Amino acid sequence: MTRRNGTMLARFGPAVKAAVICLVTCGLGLGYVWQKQQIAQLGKEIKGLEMRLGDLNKENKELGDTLAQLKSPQVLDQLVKQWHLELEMPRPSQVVVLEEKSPTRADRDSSRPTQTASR
Amino acid sequence: MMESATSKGRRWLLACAVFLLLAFSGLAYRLVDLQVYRHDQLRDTARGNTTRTVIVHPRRGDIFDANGNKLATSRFVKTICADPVMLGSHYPAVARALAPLLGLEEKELEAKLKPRLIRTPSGQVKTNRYVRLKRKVLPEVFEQITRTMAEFSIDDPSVALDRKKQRFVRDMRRRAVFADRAEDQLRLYPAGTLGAHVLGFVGGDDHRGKEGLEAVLDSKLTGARGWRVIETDSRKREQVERRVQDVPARNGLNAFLTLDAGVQNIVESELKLAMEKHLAAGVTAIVVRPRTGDVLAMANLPTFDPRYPGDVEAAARRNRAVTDTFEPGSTFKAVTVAGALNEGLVTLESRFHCSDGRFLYAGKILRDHHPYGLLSVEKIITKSSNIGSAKVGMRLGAPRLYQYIRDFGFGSRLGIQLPGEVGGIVHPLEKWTKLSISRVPMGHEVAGTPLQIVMMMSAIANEGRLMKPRITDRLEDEQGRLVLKYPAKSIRQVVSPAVAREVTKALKTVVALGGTARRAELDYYTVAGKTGTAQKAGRGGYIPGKYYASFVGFLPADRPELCILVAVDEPQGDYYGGLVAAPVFKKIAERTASYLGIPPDKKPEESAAGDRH
Repeated sequence: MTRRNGTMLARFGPAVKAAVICLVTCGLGLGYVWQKQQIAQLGKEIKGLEMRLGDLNKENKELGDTLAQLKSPQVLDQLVKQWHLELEMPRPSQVVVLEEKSPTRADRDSSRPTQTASR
Repeated sequence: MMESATSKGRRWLLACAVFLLLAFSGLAYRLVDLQVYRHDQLRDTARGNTTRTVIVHPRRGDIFDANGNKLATSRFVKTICADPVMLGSHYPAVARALAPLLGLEEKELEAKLKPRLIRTPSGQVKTNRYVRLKRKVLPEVFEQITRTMAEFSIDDPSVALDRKKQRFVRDMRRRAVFADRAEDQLRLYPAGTLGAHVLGFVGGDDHRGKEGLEAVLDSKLTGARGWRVIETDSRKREQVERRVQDVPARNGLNAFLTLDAGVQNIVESELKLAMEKHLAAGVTAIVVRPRTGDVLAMANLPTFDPRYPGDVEAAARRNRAVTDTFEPGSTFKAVTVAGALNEGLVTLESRFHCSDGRFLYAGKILRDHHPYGLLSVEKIITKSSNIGSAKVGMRLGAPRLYQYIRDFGFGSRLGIQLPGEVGGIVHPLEKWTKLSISRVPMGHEVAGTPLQIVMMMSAIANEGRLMKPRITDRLEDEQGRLVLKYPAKSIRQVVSPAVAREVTKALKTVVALGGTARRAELDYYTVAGKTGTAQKAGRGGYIPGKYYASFVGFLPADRPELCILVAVDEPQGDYYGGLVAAPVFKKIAERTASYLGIPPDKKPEESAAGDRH
């Protein structure tokens, strides 16, 4: 039995080794190609995302510029006149100024929690 | 027989061996030649075919007002080019289609697109394969152009084209009109002409600041270029995975000004009305916060559109508030009186005889508008007496008067961050004539810029402390992080706070009953100010009929928030500062105080009572 097994091993051993080496080499090759493919794919995705980011930044900038233009005092004045909104600055008599009174020492003392002296 | 066949076979073998040896030797030599001797050259050529360095341009920083409103911004734009050879005989039709999009005349565009032979500097005759159609075209316009070209039809679509013609049409649609690789920027001013003299403008192929803050802050606004070393495929598309270097550009810093777009708009709209009313050659106004020296508004008319600075004369682009000087006239009397009070030589109650309107000094007669007798120092300011102020100046003496003039900021630049600022004219004491001590105290024989006048008055409003005028508040990066802060700076204490309050007291009477600037009085705020009416000087003396009318004042007088100067150059008809400039000051002051929510310091009853007097 042992001799027979030994003979089989002697006969197919190199073939198995060669097959394993071939498989490993083939696997490494395929893995390399697959990785290259993945890298190329990711490169394309990065490019696509970069372009999208660029477009979004550009759009954001354009919208910001349009907003700045619409908010400019000259445009606002023009729109008020165009739409007859009759808007004007309030006169000081129409403004109620609420002056915040700074707390006095008495106010501060009254708001402080009462402390009892401990003996 | 066998022997000879064998030797023949050997000879063949030998010949083949020699041939192969020679062939392999040749190949080996070629291999060594390519891989060793010409390695560097070929490596560079190979890299040159696939590797490119792309410069990434930074975006120029924006300019904002004090409230974060955008006043100037930049956008990347395209330079549209064409290859006339690729258009062939279809250039008139292409010109017709693109002219409206590019905003060019059809004939002009047609001339550019016409294929022609050109002679190079080396004498070679070539076809023109590159013409620049228009610079600074917005990306959306370029997209429209690309779409128009893609849909461009040259023949009847029902007629079949041969293969050669089809390829020509395809190439023409895709590649005949294109954008230059070099990136360009367009400066936009969302608020239009608002603050044009302060902002300035950019110009040239390099998109650099040429005037105003655009020029002063140019190095900060420009940013730093980045680069990308890339590899491309056969169709010149980037292989992102093979990107060698990627250094992003650092965009320019954003500048935040002390200028308030709302106040600037109020000032500019009022100046426009004043310009039309008085048919003036020019008007200037400056609004300053006395405590900090912050410039809230600075405007000149005539003005210009910063996008098209070449459309107006150079004079209209000049920021006259800092570049032009004029004799301040009576506004200068505040300097004389402040100096005399600070030296303890006079009080507001000290009296001077005003020689009944005619004062002979150094062989020349000095006149007042009205004949006055005894006037207190306060009344000299109220009535704006030339003779009275000359006599106060004489009591102060030339050396001390000269020193106060210099201390109030005349004769040297104040150091505002704007180009072209001048120091004005203050003659050194050695050049003063005998007459000077009677003329300088009332604002003659000296010249200052509108900015110097307003900063002088701000110093009085700010308890005698002269501040450095500040127009830029800070610089921030794209993420809003503070990079540089320009703090408010004091130049010097010119007069004591008590003296400044005394001068303020005198200046308050100018807008009260009997003063020269009744029209500058406000309903809800007390105003302290001074009128000025100066005859314009030209070659050989004063020019008859040409005046410079001004009013400079601050409010609320006892806790000043705003100091405003209005100057009208060559008004037609009325020319007194109290009649021409004071009403403009009033309108600007009323609207600005309301806009900024400055609490009134005067009750309407007081105002109404004042009107009844």
